[in-house]
Amino acid sequence: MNSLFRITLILVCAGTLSSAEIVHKYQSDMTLPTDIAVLEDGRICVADGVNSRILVFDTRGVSTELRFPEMKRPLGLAADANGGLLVSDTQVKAIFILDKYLNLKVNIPLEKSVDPTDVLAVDKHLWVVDNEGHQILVIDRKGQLKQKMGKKGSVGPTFSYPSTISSGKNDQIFVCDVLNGRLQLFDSDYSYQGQIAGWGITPGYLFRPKGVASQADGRIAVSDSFTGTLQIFKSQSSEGKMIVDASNNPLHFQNPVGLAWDKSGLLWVVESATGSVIGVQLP
Amino acid sequence: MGGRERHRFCHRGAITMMRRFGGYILLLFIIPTFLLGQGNKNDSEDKECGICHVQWHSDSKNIQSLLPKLETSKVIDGRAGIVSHEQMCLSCHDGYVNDSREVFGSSNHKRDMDQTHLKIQGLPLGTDDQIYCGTCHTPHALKPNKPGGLAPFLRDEAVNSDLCLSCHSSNAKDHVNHPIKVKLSPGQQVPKGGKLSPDGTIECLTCHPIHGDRPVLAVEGENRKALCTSCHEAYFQIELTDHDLPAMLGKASAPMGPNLDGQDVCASCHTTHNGQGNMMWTHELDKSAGGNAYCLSCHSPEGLAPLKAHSHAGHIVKDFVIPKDIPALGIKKGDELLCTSCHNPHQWEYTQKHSVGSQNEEGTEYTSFLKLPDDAQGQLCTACHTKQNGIFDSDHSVSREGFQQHFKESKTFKGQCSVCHDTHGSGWLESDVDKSRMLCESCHTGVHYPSTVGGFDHPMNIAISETSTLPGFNGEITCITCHDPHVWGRPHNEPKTVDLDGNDANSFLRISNWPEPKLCLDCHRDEAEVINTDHDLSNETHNACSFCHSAHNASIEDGLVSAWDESAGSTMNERICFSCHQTDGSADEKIPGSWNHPKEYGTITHPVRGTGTWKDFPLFDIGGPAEVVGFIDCFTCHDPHRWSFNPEVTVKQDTNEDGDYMTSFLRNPSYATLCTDCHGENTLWKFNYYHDPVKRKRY
Repeated sequence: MNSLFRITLILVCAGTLSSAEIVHKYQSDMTLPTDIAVLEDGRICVADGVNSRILVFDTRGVSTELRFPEMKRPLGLAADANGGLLVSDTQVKAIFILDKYLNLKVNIPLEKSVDPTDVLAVDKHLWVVDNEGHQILVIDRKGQLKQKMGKKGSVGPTFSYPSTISSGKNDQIFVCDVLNGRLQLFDSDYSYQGQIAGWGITPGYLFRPKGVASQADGRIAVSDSFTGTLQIFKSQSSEGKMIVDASNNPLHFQNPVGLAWDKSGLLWVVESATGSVIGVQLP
Repeated sequence: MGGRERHRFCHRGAITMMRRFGGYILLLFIIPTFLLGQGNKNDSEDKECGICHVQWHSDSKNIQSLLPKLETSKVIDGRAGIVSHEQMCLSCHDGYVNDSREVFGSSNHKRDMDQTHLKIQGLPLGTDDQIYCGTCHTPHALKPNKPGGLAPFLRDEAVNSDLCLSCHSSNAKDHVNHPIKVKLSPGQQVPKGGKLSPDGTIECLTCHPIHGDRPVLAVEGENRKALCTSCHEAYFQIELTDHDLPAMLGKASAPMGPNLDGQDVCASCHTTHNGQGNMMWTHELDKSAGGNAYCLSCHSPEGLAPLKAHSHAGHIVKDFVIPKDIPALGIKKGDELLCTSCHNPHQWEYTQKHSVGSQNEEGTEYTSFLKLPDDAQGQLCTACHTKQNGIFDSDHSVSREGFQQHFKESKTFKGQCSVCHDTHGSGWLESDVDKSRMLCESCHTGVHYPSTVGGFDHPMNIAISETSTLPGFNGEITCITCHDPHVWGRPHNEPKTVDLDGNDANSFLRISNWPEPKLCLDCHRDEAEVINTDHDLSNETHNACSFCHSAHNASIEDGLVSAWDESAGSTMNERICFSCHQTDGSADEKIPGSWNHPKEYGTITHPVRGTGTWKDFPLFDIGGPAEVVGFIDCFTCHDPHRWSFNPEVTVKQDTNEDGDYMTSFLRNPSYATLCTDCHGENTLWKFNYYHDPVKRKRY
């Protein structure tokens, strides 16, 4: 396969979706927010770690501030199965479990060497992204380590600064592998299932993947903070499709990071550079 | 892996490869593209540099390239150098590789900020001369293990503010800026979030955050108290005093002075950078005022404190070098005497306990920004004026009943020194009024202290002897000629808790007057011959003069004679002499048998005759000296201060010498008297046997 053929293949395969539309844009004086989670009741939580808080937007876009003394720098968020919220704090080095009323219920301290940029509830366990450790830690809700996955590297089940994590169809777990420009795929039994996308700057590739959010229908949304684009992958084997506007140009964001779907199918994007959270209606 | 390691990891491999394999590196870019699938592209070596140098990616010119069109100030190889764009930096430093979000969310040193007022030296700028991340940072230059290289990949060593001063050199000029490159003093602390240089000295980063929204650490808005207190907490005693200008000016009835609303109290006088003078002063300074210019910038008729303007009267505050260490005032030998020698402008009350209750409070001897109080011990003044500290145990102590009664009646309070001295207002030396005498007489009026002054006192307003070194007022005698009100003198076991009764050894006399009457003889030198004569009656409390004379409260003005027996004689002379020369008197062995010259035969005095002075042959009337015509009395023939009229005849020591015609305190030999006017050739007989009631009548 020569290079010309390879590039052509990429262009052909790297298709686009029909036009997407921005339907919401919430702002509340956030400073480079990171992650987002949609609660069961539809409220949207955004990690504003620089300001040591989480902002909770109701369905009208009105925000309230969530702080508690134990929380210093929330960076990763995930909806918990019981309607609550999971928070990873990179300064305190801890996972916080909040109930559906957003009251702190459990504080799980981690080893000081762990840099928890995101957390995900999978069954009874928590999957914690250890950014500087280039690994995924699986712990129970008492903090007991159950499994480690990955190490520093670029081939196979390795990472170079994993950022966020999401679960999808068939209990698949996706991890953004930032400097490797890919999604790493695991199943709930901790088995490595391969990667999606790869390091590049054209559609189907990723340069700085930061946020990942997967739908039950198999759609996997990925944000690229440097190119400012979103792509949708449907499976490990499929090419990514750019989310585009009505002019068929990639819908562009300023440093998009955390992603989350809501029940209505709206994709919520944290636009970090503008301190915004944006609701995108996909076709 | 820390930040340094990350960059080392990113760049080390690529740099090594470029050096070792040169042109082969191209193959490493191409081969994976040709041979490997999508996943294999992830392993491509071009990712090593391409992690940031994305334009070197083989797809960078691809029509499908997703590279954003960024406005960038740098051009690299003819293309926009987005590698140096802050968005590239943020793509890792947004929390997902490294968390530097405060930097990007900050307004300090942000891209495209105005820097036209700076002289930037040795650092790269954008094409429009604006700063960008790469102005200070580069992942290539500084090895992380280099001293000072711990900073986040700074372009130059951030040691001792050197990198900062590449742009802000004007903010490091000595004296007009807050000092850097000096160590903290004991008790001073680095502000929260600040740091010291590796050598432990203050640097720019001690107070200033490189990034963030605040110009200085720990501070919201313009009130820098939280920062300044880290090192200068003690100075914040100034708050709510009259020197707290943000508080004071804000409460003024009409706008006055600079607008300091919302600023910290330090801003009253100091600006951290590019102020005036060594104190980084915010106000205009009159450099001719020297070290006092800071105070005078407000304490002048045109300043903010005209009611407390310095009058240049009173205590000197310039052109004087302090000759010794004064630890109590923090003064070192050689320091110039300044306002701040006595005043601490940051501390209203010396105990630091004072809580100012209301604005514009009038100062007292305990407040007024004094370093020490002028209390009953006069701590402030006697720190320098040590010779005056004996006053505390004297009748001039403000603790004594007289002063306390005065304070009670006048509803005032004064310290030990300020009760007499007006530090800033008196102008005694320049006055044409004898203010020191007025001050003494304000208490010693005879009403308050009749036992000390009153009756007949030593005359004043007469010229001081030319040979005397005693002080006076315009060369004339005044109270302080004889008295030093600060020094009581030699004690004689007097109790110190009650009013002292003075004697010749103390009584605030300027020169020791006991046992020898040195003070009296400083002027009355001719009377010194009385020493050791039979008329030298000095004892444990009296000298040779004071047994007969009293400088104050004398009973008779002439001679200020003090010892009296009103019934002893019929004339002034007789009452003086007979107080001793009488039966049971101290000189009862020398009682004259006859003494009274007929008073009806008046004699004309020497001055009237035009032949000499009254003292050549003093004549008297009943009450005292007669200037024109008088009669002969004791002192006509006797000078009680001089054993003999012949200077060569001196009193014999340690003997009770009996007098004769050459001695016996005779003023003159017989031939030098006026006796011959009446007695002719009988004069000698009359003279020699004047006191013999039988022989004097023989001729």
